[in-house]
Amino acid sequence: MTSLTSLLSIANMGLQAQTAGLDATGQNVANASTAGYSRVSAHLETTTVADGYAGSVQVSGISRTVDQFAFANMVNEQGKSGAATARSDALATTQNIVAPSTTIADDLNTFFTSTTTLEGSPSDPSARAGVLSAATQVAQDFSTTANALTAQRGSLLGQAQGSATTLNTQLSQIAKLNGQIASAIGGGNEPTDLEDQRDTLVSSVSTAIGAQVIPGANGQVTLLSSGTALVSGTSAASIGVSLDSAQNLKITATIGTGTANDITTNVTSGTLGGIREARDTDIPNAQSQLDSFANDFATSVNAIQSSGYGLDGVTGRNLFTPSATVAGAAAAMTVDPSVAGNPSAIAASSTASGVPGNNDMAVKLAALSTEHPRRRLHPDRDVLEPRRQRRQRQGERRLRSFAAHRDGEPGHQPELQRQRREHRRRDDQPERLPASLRGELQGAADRGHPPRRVDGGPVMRITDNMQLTQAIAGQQTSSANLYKLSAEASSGKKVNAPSDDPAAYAQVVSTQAQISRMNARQTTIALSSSDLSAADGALSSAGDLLTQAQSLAVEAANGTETASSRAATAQQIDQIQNQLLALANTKGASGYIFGGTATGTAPFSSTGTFNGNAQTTHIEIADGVTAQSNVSGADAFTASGGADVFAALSAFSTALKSNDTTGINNAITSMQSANSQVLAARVSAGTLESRMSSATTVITNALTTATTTLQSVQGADVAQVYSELSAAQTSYQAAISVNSEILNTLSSRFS
Amino acid sequence: MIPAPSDSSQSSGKSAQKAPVFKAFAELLEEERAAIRTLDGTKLDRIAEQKVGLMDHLTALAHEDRLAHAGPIRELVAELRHNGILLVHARGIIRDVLRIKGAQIAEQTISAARLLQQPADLAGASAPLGARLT
Repeated sequence: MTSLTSLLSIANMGLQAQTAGLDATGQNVANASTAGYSRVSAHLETTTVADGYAGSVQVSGISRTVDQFAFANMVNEQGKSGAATARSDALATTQNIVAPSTTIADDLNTFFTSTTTLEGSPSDPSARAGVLSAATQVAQDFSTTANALTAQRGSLLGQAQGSATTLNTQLSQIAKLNGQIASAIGGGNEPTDLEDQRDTLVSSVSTAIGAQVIPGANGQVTLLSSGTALVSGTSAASIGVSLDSAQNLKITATIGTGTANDITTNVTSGTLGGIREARDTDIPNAQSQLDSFANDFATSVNAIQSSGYGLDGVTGRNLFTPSATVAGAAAAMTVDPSVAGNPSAIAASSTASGVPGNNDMAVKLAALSTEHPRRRLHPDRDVLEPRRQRRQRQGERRLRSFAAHRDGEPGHQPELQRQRREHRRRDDQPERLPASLRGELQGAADRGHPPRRVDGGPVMRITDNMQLTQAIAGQQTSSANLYKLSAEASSGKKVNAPSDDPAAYAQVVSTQAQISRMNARQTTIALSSSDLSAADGALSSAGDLLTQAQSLAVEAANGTETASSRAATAQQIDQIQNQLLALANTKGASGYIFGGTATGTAPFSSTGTFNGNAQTTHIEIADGVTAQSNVSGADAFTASGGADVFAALSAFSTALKSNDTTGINNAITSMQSANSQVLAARVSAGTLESRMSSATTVITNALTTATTTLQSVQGADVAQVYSELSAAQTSYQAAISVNSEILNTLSSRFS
Repeated sequence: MIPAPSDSSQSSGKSAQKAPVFKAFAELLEEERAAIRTLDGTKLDRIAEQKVGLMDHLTALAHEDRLAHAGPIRELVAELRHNGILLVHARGIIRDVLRIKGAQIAEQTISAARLLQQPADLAGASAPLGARLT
């Protein structure tokens, strides 16, 4: 029989149990936004009161509600995400180095354009100077790009070492928490907070290096990664990052005071894996392609140049200094000393007797731009990249499955169940398969996807335009980033209207800032283009005046001329000098255009004395890319360029007035030199103007696209715009691929 | 209308008939540039298919015809190259926009992973988990 006391006891115990449950719920609500917090629940069980008849309830314990499968999966995916993010960031930097906005493309175009000009005027010194100037610029571009890639590898080493330092701290903390958790459980407590802290650290470790979590019986976890135990009980490994003899990353794991184990080849996940992939695979591949391209380009040009004849009748000279090895060819690329500073050495003629009118070699040089040696299988582009893409697609499927589970879509449950089965199977296996078996399995997978194209020929081809090569390179190097974005897009289920969405607002602001930058840049380029155009016009007129002076010198040197007729010619020369002075003091949008950086005062006095300086000005035409925006008046008109134009005219005038036939004869040569000097400056102005024009085209297109994007984002639902942009991105990707394939086909079949 | 591909027995004397192929290609590339400017992905897909079709005509040219058409082919290569640059550049712009938006969605993904630790029947909420992510 139940007594009244027993009833009261039952009620009291029930109240205590429910209070504990409410405490747990309150704790859950309070920590709803706490990072790393896991929901806890109170476990209730029946019990009996003293008389043994009536049942009551009591709290048997408080436990965290954690789905170990989901957590293990998340840790696994975080490793992949960390690797993709690190690699994507590194590749974005690489892309900035070799992307179409850099100068190689433009300057290679300029080089081939200059060879076309030489083809039309093989004896024209300005055309020759143009080829030499463009070749110098191309060599500098190759060298700069190669050095930038090398510097990026150094930077990634620093990043990897920084990541390892943070990682070691986290591993020690996890080991310490393991000990505290085991003690708490041994004492009959529920260390939920400690477990939350440890899970947060495990997530961070996985992001850094990729990890597998194996729960232990006493509440501890073992953390495996890259074929070694990072944390086992209360022991933590120490990760070291250094360089091996081949200057590649060497990653080691040391447990306690033991020997450092080299785990480099096993580190394929997490930030360290991504950095290693980018630093020691992707960038060397890019460097190798750049070296091959530079070497093939220099070899092809040299083969033509060395078999032709310069204006001086000399043959056998290279345009570029040949590189001893393909590796390092880009960094070491320079114009050959036998040609540098000597436009006459450019070989336009195929025979000594054909000089100066023969243009066979110039034609061959220009034709290089459309030659395409057959394409050979490239391991990274044709084999590794498709493999990465398959892996990325697998990752996308998993993320979609998670999202479907989250939203309760029953159609996706089988995929989740399949992953759960796979996960259970993996629990009974060592973390990694033996290397031999992995290789065999990978080989079997690869056999199902044989390489698309295997034909002989050089590794790198000389394309008709470096821009195309870089476009393709940009397409390849950004693939990882594109797929990562696609995966993120597939997880985005709900986004509010732009007015309610700070992220969308940030996007609008960012795009507006981008447009503002481009507008400012466009204005600057327009001003510089205007000045360069003015310089080109002034130098053109100056050239005409000096040609006229040269003709007058030839006439005046004639023995039939008299002292009075020469005096009359002297007046013409004085007028020419005055006109030339006016041209040399031409003002543009930013002041006097031939004064260097001294644009506020006239650079030439009435006597032809130069008051400016030889410094150049530069403007930014793209992010991090600058271009010279002025032409040197010193080089055009003063002795700095080789001949003092105004002094030569004065001397000519003096010789005419004093009827000095020797001086008049000397003037024929000096006028010719002055004319060549002005022409060379005009070539420089034209090259710079062309570059500004190219930059303007790029910015105009970018502005159109950015403005369209901005309008779309501001005027429509963000989710819809995001979805449409994702689809458009796919279309652009497909269009780029088709475009590349067509160009490859044209190259292989019509060259 | 594009003429049918020539067979190998045709001589270079008929090469003039192939000119419409290049004209059609040039018009298509102009249309592609317009589509790039307007971010018209659907049109780009259609143009890509048409380009492949035109290439079939072009690759069917006899060897002699190829020699005769060296000039137009060179121009076509330049045009294709130009469009390639525009496509890559436009894709870069789109990618930048998606990256900004993607960063926000990546945060949501982390939140989703956290919520996945709580089975829906214990979460104490009637709304689907996905609806509460934001």
